[in-house]
Amino acid sequence: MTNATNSMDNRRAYRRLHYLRAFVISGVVLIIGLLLSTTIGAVEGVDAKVFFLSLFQYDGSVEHLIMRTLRMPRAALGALVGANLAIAGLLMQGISRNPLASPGIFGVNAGASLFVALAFTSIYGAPMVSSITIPFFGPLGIVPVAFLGAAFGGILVYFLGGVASGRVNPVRLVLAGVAVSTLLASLMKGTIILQDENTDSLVYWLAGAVDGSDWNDVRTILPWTMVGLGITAYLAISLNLLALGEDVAVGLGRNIHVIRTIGGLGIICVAGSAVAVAGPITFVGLIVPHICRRLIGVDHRVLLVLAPVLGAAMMVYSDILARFIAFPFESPVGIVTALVGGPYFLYLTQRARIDR
Amino acid sequence: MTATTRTAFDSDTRIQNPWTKLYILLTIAIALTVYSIGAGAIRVPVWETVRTVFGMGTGEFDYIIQQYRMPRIAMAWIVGAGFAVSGTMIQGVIRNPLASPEIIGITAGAGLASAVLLLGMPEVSVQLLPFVSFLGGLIAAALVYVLAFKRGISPTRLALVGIAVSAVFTSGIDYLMTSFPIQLDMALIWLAGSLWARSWEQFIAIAPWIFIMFTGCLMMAHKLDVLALGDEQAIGLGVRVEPTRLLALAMAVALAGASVAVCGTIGFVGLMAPHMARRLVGGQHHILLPTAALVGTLLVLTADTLGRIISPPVEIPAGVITSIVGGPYFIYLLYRHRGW
Repeated sequence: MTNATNSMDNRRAYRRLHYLRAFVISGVVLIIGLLLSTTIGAVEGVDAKVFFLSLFQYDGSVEHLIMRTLRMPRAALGALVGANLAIAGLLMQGISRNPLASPGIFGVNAGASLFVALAFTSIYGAPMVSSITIPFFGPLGIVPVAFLGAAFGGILVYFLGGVASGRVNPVRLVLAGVAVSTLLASLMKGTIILQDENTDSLVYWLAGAVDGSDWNDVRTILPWTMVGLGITAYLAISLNLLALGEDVAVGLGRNIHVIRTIGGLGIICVAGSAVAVAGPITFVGLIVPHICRRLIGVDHRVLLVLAPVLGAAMMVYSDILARFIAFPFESPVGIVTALVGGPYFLYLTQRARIDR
Repeated sequence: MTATTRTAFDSDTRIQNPWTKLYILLTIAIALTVYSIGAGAIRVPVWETVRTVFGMGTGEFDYIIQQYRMPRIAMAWIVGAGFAVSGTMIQGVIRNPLASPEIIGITAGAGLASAVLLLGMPEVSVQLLPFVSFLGGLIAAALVYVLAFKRGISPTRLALVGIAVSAVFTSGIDYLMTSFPIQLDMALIWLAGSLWARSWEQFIAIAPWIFIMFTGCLMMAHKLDVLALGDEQAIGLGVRVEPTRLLALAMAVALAGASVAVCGTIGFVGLMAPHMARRLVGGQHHILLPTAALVGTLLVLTADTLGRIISPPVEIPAGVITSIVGGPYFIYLLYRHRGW
């Protein structure tokens, strides 16, 4: 008896240590990434010292200015976008119980970008949208439009893929997602071609990019990251139960529809805001939850801490790589995440038992 | 597995005379061609169109019809047929109702290869384009095939691997498009799949290639029929399964690759056309292949014509329109083949 409790305690202590180690390591990796991201760039002489000095003893020199108005918001935005996408992936994989669920594959990104592209056309008028400001949340910008689009794309795939009717063949859902994404992307291309202005910047944005961002973008996305984290925390235990099976979750007193609705709202907030500021960035939301699960297991209470950190780290490092692809010119970060994420997705399809 | 996939190839339409249907399709395609030559920013009356095409017009529209409209319509014919026949071959060989040049990565590979050639070495002759594009498609298809192979090819695994490989190749195209911003407007149209500004030069570069491949496919029709019965029956009937399958796939790659090389990815044609053709005339390849080719032509022609007449002078790329139709059709297919 005592032996058993002892070993239980031991195991729990060991697991806690394991979690702690994972948190610390990923945190350190992220911080190093942020430092690198703010010190690597086309302008020389903006180094780690400038990073700290500009934080605490801002003197208005060119280096400090670059650091505070270009490098820092960019790194912060990359990190937040990565965190958002990772949360979105975690929530999606949790509520759909589908290992391949992610905002990129399930039409959420495509829907959001279609609506954003529509918002930039003359029908809606970009200046009008970006001039709306609400207190605390900062400039409203295109975020609500992106939310609508994210909801539109996600719901389309959700119902067409047959989740609602109880069939849960993951691959069907993926195929439906790809088809809907292609459809929405085509509509978006049509929109862009028809409107004929801003095409260059829109094409760049469509590949997914965080460069050229400012603190406004950070302020735009930050509250939604918080909302997403809060929702994930609220749902964590429910998601753990849902992972055991829908019947189990129902048997233990959970309302699946409520879980899915709240989770869906969370996904729309995090994925929509990420697309609004950085364009559709693929594969981060798909692979980060998988990496996290490999590192620390399946408990969503722990995953919800690790996933945003690793997602942020992945985006920050991808953004650094993106600078080197065509140095000193910038390339969209979405290209790097696709290059990294595609093979990982392949690896997942090789490993997982998704093809029965 | 076989029991469920085979449903895709049973046609329950009672075929009276498939050849009649083929001729009806041909008539529609020709009528649409005549209309399409006349349609666009500058409208040409139908009779004037016909006379100008045969060189007996007033001369007023000679230039616009012979140098602008006719090459792109001709291109629509061969490109539509190329995608459709490619899709038919792939679906026949892999016996997967959802397989298509896009899904198994051919178009992304061919697209990347031709984008590299067009942007990196613009001085190279356009004659080289089909070969390079074929090579790119071949690499992508081989990659998908090898990665998806695990005690045979399962349709779901193939689709997933294809999506992943396509994503990687597409990010390569994205990179090229954002790094060479001079021709961005054109690149966007080309990426979305368009027949805009196609010339006789490109038609001549591609047409023989497609004709030869199409003839080759027709010559394989009988073997493809046997292959559709299943590997064991095919072996029993004296068909060497693996070589046949590889040859058929290579032809599919060549057809799709050549089509992508000149007009980008006109989405979903390679997926839709074979299914439509199969419903029309059944699964025998000697009639299925030409029917699919005609259906593909009709799809591309319609999309191109619509794209020109919706809001002239701006053109909506044909690929955008086929995707808008093809996305829902794909989902409909998912429902129809929900066995797996």
